[in-house]
Amino acid sequence: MSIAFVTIFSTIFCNVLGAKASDLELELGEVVITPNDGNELYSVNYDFSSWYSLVYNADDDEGTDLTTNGVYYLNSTFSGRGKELRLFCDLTNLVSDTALITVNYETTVDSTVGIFTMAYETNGSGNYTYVTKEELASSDYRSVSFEVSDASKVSFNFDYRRYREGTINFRISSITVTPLEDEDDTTKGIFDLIKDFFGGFFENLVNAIVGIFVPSQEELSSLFDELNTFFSEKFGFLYYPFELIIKAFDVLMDDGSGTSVTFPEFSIMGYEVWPDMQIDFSDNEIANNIFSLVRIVNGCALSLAFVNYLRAFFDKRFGGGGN
Amino acid sequence: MIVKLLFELVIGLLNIVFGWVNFPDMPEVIVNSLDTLLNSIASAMGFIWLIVPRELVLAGLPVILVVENFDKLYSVIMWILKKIPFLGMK
Repeated sequence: MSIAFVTIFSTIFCNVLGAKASDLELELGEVVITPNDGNELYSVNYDFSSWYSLVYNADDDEGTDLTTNGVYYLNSTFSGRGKELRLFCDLTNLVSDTALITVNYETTVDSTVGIFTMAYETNGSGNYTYVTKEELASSDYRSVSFEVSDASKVSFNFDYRRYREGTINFRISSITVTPLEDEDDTTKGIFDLIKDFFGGFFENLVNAIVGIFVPSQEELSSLFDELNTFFSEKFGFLYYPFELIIKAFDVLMDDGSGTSVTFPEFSIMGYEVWPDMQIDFSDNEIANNIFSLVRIVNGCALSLAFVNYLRAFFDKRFGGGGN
Repeated sequence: MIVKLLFELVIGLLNIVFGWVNFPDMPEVIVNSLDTLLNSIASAMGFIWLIVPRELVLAGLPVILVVENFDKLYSVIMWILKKIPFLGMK
């Protein structure tokens, strides 16, 4: 799979510190530069309004070039487990310092995307760091933030893997780049600098040695994914029960973001009696208090049951069975 | 790096051994039905975690799995230990 990308912003010759909105040359969206309480740090916010839409069907193996819209669709090899789609975005010439980058995006899918990831790299290093990795079931509005030490060239991609058929809509609604103030070395004492140097040196040395033996979380995760995809492709329906167990575990590990109930609208003969209403339990203070109490009670009950279970196991295995 | 290398070696070996295998996929109707079921459960997890402490469940579940499979784990560990000659275990 060749990697291709197109810069969203071909020329953003902007040193954010001290830049004015009129200095920025952007092809898309609007730019808002917000002074940060006079600290000479600025947030640069890019707002976009376009949706990029793709329709998949099983016979179509051709990629759709969305270059003109600033987002590139990279078509990958079609496999029996579904297509793969990558949206690759590149930010250049932002700031050469530490910065917090927040990407707000919306996406809608017709059917389940087995694996949806968002990852970023800096300065073309090729080492991608995953920010999100999950299953995508329907439409969603999300926001991801990550901190980079050098924001002069940041690339990030969105991968849709194991998608069978239907339409994928994707939109980056805004990107906010906030430079973070580094501690000035001149304000540090010489001993602090020596301490930092050796502290960093030994920490990096230990990390490097550990890195030789222990793969990082991302690498491990990607290896397991590779293994899972391999078994899934080769063993088809025989492997499906295992896939289902993995999915079930993922569901259990999921923190379950949705705690709202939507009551549908009700209308008689074209007259709307009430509109559709959405109630979010986690936002309601009274409901929150009640649920906290219920959680405590359930927690106590579960803890007691757990201790009792361990005690029963101990008695069964090692004898005893006293009071 | 070493573990990654071993992993890639295993995947390479599996590719050689099972490269010719190509079982058909599970019928889409079944996959879709089970996906729908899992998605429904996933969308309800938010409500479940409102009343059940998630941290406790996630901490307790692995312990229960280990305890339930204690015999098997014990056998595997003893099998490995017995392979090390200088330990002298029989």
